[in-house]
Amino acid sequence: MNRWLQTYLGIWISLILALGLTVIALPQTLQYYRPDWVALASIYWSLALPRRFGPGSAWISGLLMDALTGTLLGQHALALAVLSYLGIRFHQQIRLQPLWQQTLSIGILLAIYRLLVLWIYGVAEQPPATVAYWYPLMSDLLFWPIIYLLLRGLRRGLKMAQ
Amino acid sequence: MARLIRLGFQGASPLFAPGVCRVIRGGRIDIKQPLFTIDPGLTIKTLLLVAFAILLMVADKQFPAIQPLRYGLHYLVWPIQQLVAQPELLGQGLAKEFASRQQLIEENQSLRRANVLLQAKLLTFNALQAENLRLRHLLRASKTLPIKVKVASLLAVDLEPYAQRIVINQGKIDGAHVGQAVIDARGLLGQIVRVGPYSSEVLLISDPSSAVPVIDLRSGLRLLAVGTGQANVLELKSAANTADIKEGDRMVTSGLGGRFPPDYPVCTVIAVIRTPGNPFAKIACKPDAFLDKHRTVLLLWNNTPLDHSSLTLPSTASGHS
Repeated sequence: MNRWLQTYLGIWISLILALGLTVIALPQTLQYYRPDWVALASIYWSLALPRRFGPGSAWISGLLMDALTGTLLGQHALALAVLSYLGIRFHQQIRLQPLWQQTLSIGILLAIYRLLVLWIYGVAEQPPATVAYWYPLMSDLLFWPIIYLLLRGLRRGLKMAQ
Repeated sequence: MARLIRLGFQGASPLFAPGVCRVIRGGRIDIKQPLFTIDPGLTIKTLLLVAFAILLMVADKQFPAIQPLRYGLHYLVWPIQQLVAQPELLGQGLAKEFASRQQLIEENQSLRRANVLLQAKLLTFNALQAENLRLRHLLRASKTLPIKVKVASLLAVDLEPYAQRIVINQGKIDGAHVGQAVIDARGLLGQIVRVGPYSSEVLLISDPSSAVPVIDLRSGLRLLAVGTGQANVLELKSAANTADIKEGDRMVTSGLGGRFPPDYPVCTVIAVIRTPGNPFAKIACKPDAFLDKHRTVLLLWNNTPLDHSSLTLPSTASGHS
């Protein structure tokens, strides 16, 4: 029972930190390279603990992200739920890949995620029509190995239940 | 371990056949891994969540009735906002703590000097105000209403980078409301578009969805200042090619539309491009307020009676683009 509590606590604390990093003030030039912290965290938990973290939890963190960043309610919730779904669907393949190859797979999933968010921007209001919209994808790929090692450390440290 | 075994194959696609690991120990079979690591209802669950998200987005866009939900979510995310703003506050606190005596004396002197200058300017202000009131009375013009002002400060929180918005530390509890004008010491900054319990979102005048009715101080020409998405330039719309407008003209709010109080500086014209054959001139205008480096802002309470329940997110720009 205690282990379950630790599992959920670990998952949600990492997600709240990711939400904080999403809105923390950065210099103007760095703002366009801000990685999708919440997406990275949700995809890690979907891959590592598919029975503890799924589209539902991803949806809720997406809703919090929408409230925090002032986007349309449900915009990031939708994209994160789909991202988590894809992560769980392919978790057996992606888990087996070496880290560099895994980074590429994550890149593809995150590209789908950003495309969904962009699509909703396009339907609802003016879309950010610059190539700058895709810059965060690069920082995502750079940060994935770090996120992966950090969260794996957390998971093992807390002995999280499968 | 037994409870992990699931019966039935309905939901499991053959492509993702579950990995089963059996360990045979003295004739007894222990199943070490769950039969299905993927929940068979995963697809349907995701589809439902997607449908619900779409409903929520449509509701958020179309119906103001959903706003209490967003208001409730503000309570949830308020601790995160506070957490994120701490490093900035800590930095300011440290700077205050370690400011040298010499620096403080210099700052004090310069503030004293500024204060004397401002007071000297105010000396004639009361007389002018009284005279203005008398003249208005003579002209039988309507009285201008006094405006209440409150100092607010910015929260060090970044919103989505694709919209020009900031967060300030005044919410519904402090009396802030949607549609309220926000200024800094130099000019108009924007208006409040969302109010949470302890904080509000301000749409800057540089956002593409923002439009401010302005008037040219020199020629009295009425125009519309629309944001371009860049903090250092606005576009003035609806100026005829032959209109009396030139570089250096100062634009102030006209008060038309009832959203912004009149006579607050908005921007200064920096370029006028007239193309023969084009009915409208292209005019670039530099905002007077520091849109990208403000820490302390002022909230205005415009005392004109206005039905705030009818105010929703601004859609003024769409009619003019």
